[in-house]
Amino acid sequence: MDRFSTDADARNDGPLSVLHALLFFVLAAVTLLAQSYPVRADGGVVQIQRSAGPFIITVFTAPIPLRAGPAEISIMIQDNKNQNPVLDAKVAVMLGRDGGETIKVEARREQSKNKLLYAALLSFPEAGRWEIEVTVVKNFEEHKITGVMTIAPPRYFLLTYWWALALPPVTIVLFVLNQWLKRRQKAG
Amino acid sequence: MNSFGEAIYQSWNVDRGVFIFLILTAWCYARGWRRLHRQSPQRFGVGRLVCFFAGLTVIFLAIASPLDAFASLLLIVHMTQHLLLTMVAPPLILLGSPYLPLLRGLPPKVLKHGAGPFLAWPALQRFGRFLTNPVVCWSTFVLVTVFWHLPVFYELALRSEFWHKVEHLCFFLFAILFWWPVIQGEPVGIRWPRWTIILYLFLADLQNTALSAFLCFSERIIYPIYNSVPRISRLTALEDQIGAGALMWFFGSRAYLIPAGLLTIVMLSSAHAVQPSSGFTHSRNVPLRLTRGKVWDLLSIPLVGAVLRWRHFRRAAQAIMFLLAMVVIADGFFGHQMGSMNLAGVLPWTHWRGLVVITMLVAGNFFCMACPFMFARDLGRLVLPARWNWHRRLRSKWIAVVLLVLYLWAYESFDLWDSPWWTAWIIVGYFVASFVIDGLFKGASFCKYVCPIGQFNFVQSLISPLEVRVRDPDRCRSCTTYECIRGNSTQRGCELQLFQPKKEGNMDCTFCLDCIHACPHNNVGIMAFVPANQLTHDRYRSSLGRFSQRPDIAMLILLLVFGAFVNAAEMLKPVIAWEETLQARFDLGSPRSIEIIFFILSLLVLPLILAVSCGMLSRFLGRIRIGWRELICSFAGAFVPLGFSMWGAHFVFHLLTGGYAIVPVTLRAAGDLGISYFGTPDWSWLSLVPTLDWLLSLQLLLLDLGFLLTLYTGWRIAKGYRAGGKGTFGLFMPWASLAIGLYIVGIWIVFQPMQMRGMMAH
Repeated sequence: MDRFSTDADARNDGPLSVLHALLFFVLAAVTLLAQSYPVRADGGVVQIQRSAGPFIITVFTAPIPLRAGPAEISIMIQDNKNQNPVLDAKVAVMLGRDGGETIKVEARREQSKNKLLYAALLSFPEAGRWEIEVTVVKNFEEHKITGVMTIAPPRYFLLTYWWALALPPVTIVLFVLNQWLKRRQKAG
Repeated sequence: MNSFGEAIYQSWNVDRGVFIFLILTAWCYARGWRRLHRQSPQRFGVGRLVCFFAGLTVIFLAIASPLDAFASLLLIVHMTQHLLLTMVAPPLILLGSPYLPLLRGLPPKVLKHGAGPFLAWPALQRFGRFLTNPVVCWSTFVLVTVFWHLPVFYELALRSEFWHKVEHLCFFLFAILFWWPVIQGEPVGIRWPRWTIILYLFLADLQNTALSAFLCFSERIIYPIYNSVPRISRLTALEDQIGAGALMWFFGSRAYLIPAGLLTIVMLSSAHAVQPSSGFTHSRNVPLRLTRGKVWDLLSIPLVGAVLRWRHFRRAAQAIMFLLAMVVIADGFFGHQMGSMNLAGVLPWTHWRGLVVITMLVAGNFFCMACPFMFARDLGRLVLPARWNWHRRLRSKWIAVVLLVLYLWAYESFDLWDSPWWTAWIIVGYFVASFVIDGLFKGASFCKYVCPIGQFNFVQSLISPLEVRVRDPDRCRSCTTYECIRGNSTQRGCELQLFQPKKEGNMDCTFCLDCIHACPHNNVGIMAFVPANQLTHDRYRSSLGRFSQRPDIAMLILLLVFGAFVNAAEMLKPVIAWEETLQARFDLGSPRSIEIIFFILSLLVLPLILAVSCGMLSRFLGRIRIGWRELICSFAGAFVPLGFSMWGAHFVFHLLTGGYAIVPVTLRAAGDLGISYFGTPDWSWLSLVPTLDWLLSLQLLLLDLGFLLTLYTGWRIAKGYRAGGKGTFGLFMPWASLAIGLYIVGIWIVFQPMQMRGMMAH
């Protein structure tokens, strides 16, 4: 005789439902993964707004506050006369620290959620004061603005992946509660 | 994409998380609605389905359309988004009467055993009744609306992606509560007289009017952030604010007053209940019948089933794998001897391992099905006598255990992943061993007792969702020929001596499908089953006996579990540095000595010490008379999910970060053969480490799920011994502690920088 309890349903545990549960699990997993993206091309908050030649250039940054690690820089270019967005320029972003590393990236509208903005996804290697230079080229004319941004230290990794570390204890608590309720309802 | 309008139109942003959640909800609702519609077509008419789906569509439009992209630039757009989330989507969702369809859409077991106890919990029911009390619904909605419109919180949501999501979630959830008494959704139904709901709506309109008037008539900008963003329309920030207030006033009032008007008309015409013909009735007596789903069989899928049943399918798959093996051997011996530039360094160690674990996770042991060594085995049987029986004393997994320990040690000690020459020799050795063993001995002795890859696949496939098994056990009872195991004149039976009616789980099953072809009743299929469920009981298994009586299988499982962690840890810089420190401290000339000690300790000594301690402690705390050896054998199986998750996290990491290497390496190998049609290799691909910011999340998720499944399996095993009574927790606790320890080690491993093997940047 089996030592373990023989689950009568063990061989016929509704595999169709199992597949659905599995599909559910896979999709839920992807949902969780999707939630864990640290940076999205959203625009963020206004960091710098300056006029340069015929343009008004506004620089947005995300996340808030800006931290070492993945970040997004978005730029809106508007015509100084009528404030219409300029959508056919070439935009380059250069970031640098005194005597330190320099990062050059091209900002493109394809990378932005708001297609009126030019966005660049990059990673700040360290915290501190960074100088930013945005160059806009249109009709062979080049216009630049510069500014300074303060980058905060990176988020502690446990905070970034809190959901993954919280999943087991939360599930265990729910399971314990489930078992307790089952026992209580059985006794009642 | 250069016009202003076009740019706005294209500013869609589908948040994958929310999108998948909406799809899941829609799928679950549709599944439940279909069942309920069959039972009660009037109560769950098409109207409900349409309303629910319309509600989900409105949510999608509010958060994924350009409305979301421009919400931070124009208050009027942001207001539209909020109106959709509070005044349009919630009533539509509630008109779909989602409670029962969503519950019925869940898998029956999840509903009965998972959600059931919570749904029947009196405290939760009381809380539900409290929440749906009209006073609570009205006041919480008003409070939340006012709260988020306070400048400090409104601006917080605009500055932070996280708080913006929280704001939207609050608006939506509390709006669902607000509309609940109005729509009088199930399961609460009608609780207050209908005339009170007219008052309820009028009071809500008063609040809405006050808030909109404040926005419209304020002479200063209430949310200064809109003053700092670039203006993309001709509206000034103040005009934008007035427009948002007017929008809220106009549409908000209509959203409250139209239902109030309709209710008044209904009351005046003495129609207190909604007519059944509309499909929105409130009878509450439809029983919640739980029906078991029919057994799902991979072979029943039209095209896939036909391909799998094709008599030559397995041979074709083996031929492809055999050709790949030949290519790897040839390149390993004669190609470039740098691992990352050779097919023998990339294909087996980066691609094959990663694909094997993924296949195992989503399907089953399909690698053994396509095993390239079958050709050598069949040739051995042709050339050599193949007449001896495998010695009785060797009919266990102990040989495989020893070979696996040797392999895991050699892999690190000789850097097999970076040595094409050694890799080629290992594959050749495999061919020779399978040729000799199956050429001399009957059956599939090589697969069953020797092959380390096979043992790895057998153990890991215990948590796969597919299993080769009988469709209808009753039909087997009347069978007298037993062709699934004996075979017939045209088809051999199971070489691994697995008798289908007594087969449990995937252990020792190579997915060869011989039994499927041999069964004259077409009664064997590739069926779905609950992953890891077979580990929770100890029934007799054909050709294996009971797991609780098999210390060799327990050792094999423990070795593969600890091996997963050791194999991954050996790639970590802190571990490598620690080994170097020990080597220097004890003045050992070669790092091999330290590696040998480390492997013996971590793969054999430590698992044994921990397993014996847990077994004894479990016996003591569980107050059980069964011996600790049997407890070890029973509980070892519970660790398969955790071990698998660690292998998965490790191999998938290599596959996703080093997968590109296959392109230049293949071009190089083709170039060596004089084939330059596809171009010359671009070796910069080897330094290309893709930025996969979700990879760590995937690894953590795998570990989480493996850990939880291990705990659950362990709990079920303990419950089986003590029938859920006293001592269950004591029996389970030592094994749970071991699982927690391994999980913490796994978390530490995935957070460490790993060597980028198979790439230039080692």
